[in-house]
Amino acid sequence: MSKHWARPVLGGLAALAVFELALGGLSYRDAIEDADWDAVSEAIEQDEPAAVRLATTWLGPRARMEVPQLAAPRSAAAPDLHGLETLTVVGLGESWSDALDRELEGQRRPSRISKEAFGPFEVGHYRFDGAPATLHSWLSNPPTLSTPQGVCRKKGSSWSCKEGSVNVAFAEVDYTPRRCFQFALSDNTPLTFEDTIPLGTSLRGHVGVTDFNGRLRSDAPIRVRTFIDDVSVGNFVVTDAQGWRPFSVKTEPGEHAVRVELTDTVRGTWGREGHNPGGRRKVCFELRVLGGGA
Amino acid sequence: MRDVPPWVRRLGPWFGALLVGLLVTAALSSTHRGTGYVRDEGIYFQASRSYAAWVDRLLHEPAQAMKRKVRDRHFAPNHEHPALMKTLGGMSARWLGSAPAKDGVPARGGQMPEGAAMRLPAQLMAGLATALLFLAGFRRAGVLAGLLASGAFILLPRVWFNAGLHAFDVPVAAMILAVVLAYRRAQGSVGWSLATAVLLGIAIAVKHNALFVGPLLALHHGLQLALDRLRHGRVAPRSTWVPLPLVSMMLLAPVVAWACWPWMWADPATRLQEYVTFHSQHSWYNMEFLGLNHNQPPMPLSYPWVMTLATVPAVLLVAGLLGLVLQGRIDVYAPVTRDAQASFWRPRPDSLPCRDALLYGLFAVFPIALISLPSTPIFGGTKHWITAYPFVALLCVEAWSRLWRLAEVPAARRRWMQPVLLALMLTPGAIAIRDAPTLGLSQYAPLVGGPRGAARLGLNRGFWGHAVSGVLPQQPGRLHLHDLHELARRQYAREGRWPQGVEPAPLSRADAALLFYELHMTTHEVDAWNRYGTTAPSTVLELDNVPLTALYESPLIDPTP
Repeated sequence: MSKHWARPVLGGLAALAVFELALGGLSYRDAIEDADWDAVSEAIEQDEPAAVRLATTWLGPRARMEVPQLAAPRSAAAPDLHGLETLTVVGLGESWSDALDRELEGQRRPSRISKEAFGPFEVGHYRFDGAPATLHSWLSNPPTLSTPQGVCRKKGSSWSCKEGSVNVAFAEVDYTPRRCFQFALSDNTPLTFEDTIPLGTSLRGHVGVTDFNGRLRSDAPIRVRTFIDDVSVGNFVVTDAQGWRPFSVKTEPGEHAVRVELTDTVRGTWGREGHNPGGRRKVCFELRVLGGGA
Repeated sequence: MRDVPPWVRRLGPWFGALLVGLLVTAALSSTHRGTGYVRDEGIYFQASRSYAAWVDRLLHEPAQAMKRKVRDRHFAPNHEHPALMKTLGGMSARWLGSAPAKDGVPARGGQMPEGAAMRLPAQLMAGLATALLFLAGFRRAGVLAGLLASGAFILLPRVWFNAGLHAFDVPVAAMILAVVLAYRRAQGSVGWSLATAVLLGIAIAVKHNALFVGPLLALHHGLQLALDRLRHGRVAPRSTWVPLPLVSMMLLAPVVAWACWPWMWADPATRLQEYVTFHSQHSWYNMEFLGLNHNQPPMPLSYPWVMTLATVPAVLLVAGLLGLVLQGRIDVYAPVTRDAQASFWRPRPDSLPCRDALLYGLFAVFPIALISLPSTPIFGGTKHWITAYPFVALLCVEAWSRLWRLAEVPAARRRWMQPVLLALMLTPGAIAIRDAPTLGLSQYAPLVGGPRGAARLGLNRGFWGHAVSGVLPQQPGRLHLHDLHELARRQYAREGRWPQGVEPAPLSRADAALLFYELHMTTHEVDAWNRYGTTAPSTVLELDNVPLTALYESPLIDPTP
């Protein structure tokens, strides 16, 4: 290297340092004022919580603290983006994210109707053109739960069965909060959910396994069988490596008897030390009736 | 060193090094009073008290203290790590720290809180590292190069954070640096050969990272001989193939390390085996990287490289790389005197090139490469390759020295250009530390956009449960500590820094719960939601808007359904 190279290289180091300083000036400060949170909260206070999402997921705790709509369980632990006609998205800088794309689960991205800026926040209003609406949810209107030993007794948001208990609660599946029926019954015990309900064009649900932190994702699968009017319409297994596994069944509109049977083939979890029959692992399940739309 | 006045040339380096070391130690000691106690420190505090009590007993009842049963009882806590830093921390606390009355022992007033006193030896080691770097930089290219070397190390936010803790990572980085610098001198001095071995023994007694130093120095020596032969046809005498510096390290360092660790004095073979097994089969930590949680090996090969890029200012990485390339090239082509008088005692006299860039390059790259190996357990934290950074700093000095020499800038212009460039190179790290003086584990370089940019990329937001400033409840009640270690909590309580009447409790019985944000902690956050019937925390501790810690409590008003 000669003088002709050394001088530009020294200059380049200085330029890089100045560039980093400028970036540092932008990075090392708060970008959000309390008033920005207030403005966002006010802007979406009339929106239905189930149709509100946060695009910038890492802001979650503060966002839920400041914006009641984002703290609502139907927003903070929603199953997916299906069954919505409209959607309001709050984001830092932009009102969409890769995380929301994943929540679409194959559905087309909604079209944006409008957007507003509140300080560094962007609030986008979207419409799912022709998408079906949510007509019924088993989480809101629970069905009858039973095991081979009989019907489970309901008390509040939990059920007591002979082989264990079931409750509706928040759960972590694949590092994402969900709200679902949770249970850990004895090995190979089927848990049956059944109800006669007015159906739309499809049943949509999810099955997952909780507590991804504590496990290496090598556990026994869960068998899922779905019946409508006693006719089998779906039969598959879900492994814990599949995360929040969606499933959908096309239906004929009208009143029908729906039965979903979930069997955890072997409870507990496998780790470095072998099989642990206890632990926090539970099966997590939700189901909705979708209908209407184009 | 032409621009340095004569008196500075004589005394300046030592005075400058001392000043830098003391300033750094003082700054660490004062700013880290506000840094929460990390999980590991809680355990080390307890172990330190036990080890220091043994030293005290050794001074007063030596015969009793030397009994195996007594020794083992004192050194059993946390015996998976060597005892040196914990012993020094414990002694520092006994000397300088205040302590409450306990078990009939009266309260002790001190110069500082007990935890701050325990942290002091590690902070002094950080001061030592910067002093050594100043000396090395000064000898290479003057005062500014000395400041560049020390600043390029201590002004890295992750280094600054770890340097203030009662832990081993920065101390072992300081000791490895000391060993390597001593090894350079050992090439032509019998005394330095012995000193190198003693220093290596002490380094091993600080932390196991130092076990790799001997093989790396041997590799460097082998490369030197190979380059002499391949590039210049010089065949080294057989007596220099395994010379005194390496032999003394092999023989003396283990003895020194063993002597510094009383736990190993009894049944050393079994306990050594246990020590090796613990670290080679280390538990797998969870670590978020680019939005994915990793809790079983292998981590992506790119992990430590990307995290280095994301946490070290780019200007220093580029300068270090330039130093390696520019000076490394010279190292390879350095002329060799065929009739140099090399011997077993003095394997590389002054007439042979010492190839510093190669040496620094090996020590800068190896720790990062080791962590990136698929077979390495998931450790996660950038502290695990922190030993690389002193050598990155020395490579920066190589680039500085080489570039200014080549640029032939007139002296009048150099007088202002050099300080300006030095300030520019060190300021990105300095402002990052100013932004997060006590939350350095969550700090990221400007190039990734600081903490917000890192959160967007899905990089870890911190760990160790230390970020509690402002989130602890002030009302009496039961608190779920989450990732805050109970022993760290007890240390706060010993020092009167824990809120009165706030007692630890499992989540199922707690009135409030702490939550330290990491991707894999989502499970625990959801538990808090279920427990308190709300998804909204009552308090959130943030760094540049990125939530680090939250406090969940039972809400006074039901949340929106």
